[in-house]
Amino acid sequence: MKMLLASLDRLLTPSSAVPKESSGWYRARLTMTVSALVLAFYFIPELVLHLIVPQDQVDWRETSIILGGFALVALGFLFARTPRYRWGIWLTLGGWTFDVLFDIAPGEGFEWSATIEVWLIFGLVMAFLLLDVRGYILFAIAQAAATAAVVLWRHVTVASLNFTIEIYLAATFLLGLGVWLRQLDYSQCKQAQAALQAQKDYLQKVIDGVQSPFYVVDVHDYRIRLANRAARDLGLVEERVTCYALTHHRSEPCGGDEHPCPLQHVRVRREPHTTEHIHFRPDGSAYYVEVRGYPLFDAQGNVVQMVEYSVDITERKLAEAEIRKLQQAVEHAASGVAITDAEGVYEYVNPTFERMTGYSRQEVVGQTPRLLKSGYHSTEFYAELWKTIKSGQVWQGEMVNRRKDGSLYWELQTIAPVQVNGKITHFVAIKLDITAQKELEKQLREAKEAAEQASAFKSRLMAGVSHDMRTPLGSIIGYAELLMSGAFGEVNEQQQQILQTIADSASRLSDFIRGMLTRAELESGKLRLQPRSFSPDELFKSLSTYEHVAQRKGLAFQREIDPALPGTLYADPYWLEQILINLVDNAVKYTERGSVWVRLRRVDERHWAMEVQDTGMGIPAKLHERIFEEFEQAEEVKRIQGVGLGLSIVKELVKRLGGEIRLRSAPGEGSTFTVIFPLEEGKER
Amino acid sequence: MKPEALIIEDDAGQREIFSAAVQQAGYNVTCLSDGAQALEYLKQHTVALVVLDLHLPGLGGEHIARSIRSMPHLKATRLILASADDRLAGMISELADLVLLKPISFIQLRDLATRLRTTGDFSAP
Repeated sequence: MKMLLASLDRLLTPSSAVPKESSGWYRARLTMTVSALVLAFYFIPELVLHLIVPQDQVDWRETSIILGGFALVALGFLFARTPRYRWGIWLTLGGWTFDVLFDIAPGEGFEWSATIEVWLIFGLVMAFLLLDVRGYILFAIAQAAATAAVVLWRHVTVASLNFTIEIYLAATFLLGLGVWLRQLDYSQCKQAQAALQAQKDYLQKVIDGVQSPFYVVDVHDYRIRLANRAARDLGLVEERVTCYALTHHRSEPCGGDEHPCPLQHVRVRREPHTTEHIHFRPDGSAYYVEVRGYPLFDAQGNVVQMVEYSVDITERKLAEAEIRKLQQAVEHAASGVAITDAEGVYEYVNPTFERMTGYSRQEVVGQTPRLLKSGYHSTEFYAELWKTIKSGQVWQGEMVNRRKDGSLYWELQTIAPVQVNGKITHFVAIKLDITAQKELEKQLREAKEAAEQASAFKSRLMAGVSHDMRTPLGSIIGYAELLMSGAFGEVNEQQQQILQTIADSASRLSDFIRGMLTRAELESGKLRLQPRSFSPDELFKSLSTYEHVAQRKGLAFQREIDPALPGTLYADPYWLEQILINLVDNAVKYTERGSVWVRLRRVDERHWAMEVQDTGMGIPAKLHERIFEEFEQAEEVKRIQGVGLGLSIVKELVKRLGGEIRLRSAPGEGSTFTVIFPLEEGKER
Repeated sequence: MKPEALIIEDDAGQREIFSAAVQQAGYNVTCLSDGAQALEYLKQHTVALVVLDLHLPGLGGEHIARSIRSMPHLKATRLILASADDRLAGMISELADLVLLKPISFIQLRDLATRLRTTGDFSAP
């Protein structure tokens, strides 16, 4: 019996190694085989019997039922296709059921046997349901044999009820035996199935262990046959989904140069293939993958499937994009960029470098910066540079280099070492051609020097001229006054006046020279300030000339030093004196009667002032601003005040010295000029 | 007896005017035009007033001014600096009792000298 089962299995097992559990096709063939057996053992003998016995003894109703059974079995064939093979079985069973129902027709004397047959058929159905297909086959064989015996007996001899029952009992025993054998075999089958399942689970676990999506695709329809967890996580909910639907959310296979299909490549070239794709996650977000496809061949060497797995390379792609961006920036930078190895051998130079030096990249790579050496700098200069960058620091400086055509140029260079784990692997040099700037700088410097020389020459000239003019002016004034004093004899009224005019004119010329010198210095742009500590009363030393003039005019000349003023001031007394002289000179000149006060006083904690007050004609408020304006703009002032030049110089001087000038004056009330300066912090005492 | 005054000035015209002014103020005046001579003279004489031109050939006025201040017998000597260069005069004005910028008025010098002789000071009474 076991041999029978084994041979049955062999018969039923397809030649290819497709697992039988997964094959509906196997079940279909099984059903067909069963039906054939039924035909062979049951219907055909019965039909033959019908045909060989005399016509009048034939029960045509039964014969038609037998034919109906044929038809139902044929239908069973038709329906015996996975997963509907069960229908075929049911139809076959239905055929027997009809047969049995006719067997139990009254008047034949087979009631009992029919009843038993009905039970038998129920048992068959139960066996089918409970024991699966092979149990059913055994039942069918046993039942067919029993039925054949019954039918033979019925037609050849006079049937005996008891005998029939015995035959059925024998059949039932055979069935029981079959069930037991089936069960025996079934457990073995279960074990094999469990082992297979374990193997399958193990393999699944292995491929699930691969963190990237891994699946097997059918090369003909692009459908995924086997997938690991990572692939299922991509949204593989439905069996046999296509690879392009899974990873690209599209309805057609990939293609074109933009997005080549690895499967097509593998199928055509029959070799492994690697390509880069953009895949989409279930949420629609895209990511870069590297797809690797490997062909699977069948026994004939045809590519039937492809193993594919894809690695997420998004990070690498983004890094590459970043690098590309930086590369672009370096390539198009307006500065020359060069990269050397740790020994200073050029590995890369950008196009600006090529333009700057005249050397092409091919000519430079492999060379060292000695290629550009101009000979302009000392050995120490280069040694210092190398020392700096080799110690891991950035060197920046200006350097003269030589172009390919031999011409020299200036570059501003920044060289930075590239360190990996504390070890210098490269140097990056950024170069800016500053030849033009250098030239401009040089021209500017020369121009400035020339201007300064001219200015210095002018100052010296002015100083010389003024010095040389002052001595003769001294003689003019001195002799005129000496004559007036009567030292060389009596001088009459008219002569007195002439001599006075000579002296006054010379004085004005002297004032003019003084103003001109100050102006020259102001216009040269920078006042030569020589600040020092000095006693406030030093400022009065040069005022004796004006005091004298004031006294001769009958004016009271008062000097006052505020006791609150520090004993020592820190400033350039020369220019303070010049301011004071100008103000006092004006005050004395334009005051006919009354007094002139010169005060040095403290204003507040941080300020002190020089103040010159007179009882002169006063200045209208509308002119307060204008009297400080340039000489040529203040004709009106000049008419009234007779000066202009002096005060504009004073205002400029005060400004340059960091002070402020104020005027308090009204016609008929005299004028007070106050010049306020900050007390130099920490130096006044 | 008249006090002694020394005029040190290389320009003859200026020398004459200064001399006249100081004489009229009541001094016995000696005039010298050379710095080295003046220094020799000052080493041997005690003078009440020196009128010193800063721009002298040879030995500069500044050197003479410093020498005067360093000589004990000239402690009471009053020094008037006469200069055409107010910058230079300003820089050493602490050595002087009075700084007069050229051109110097004859009358001014005379009046100042007079005041010095009569009151012992330059300031107005």
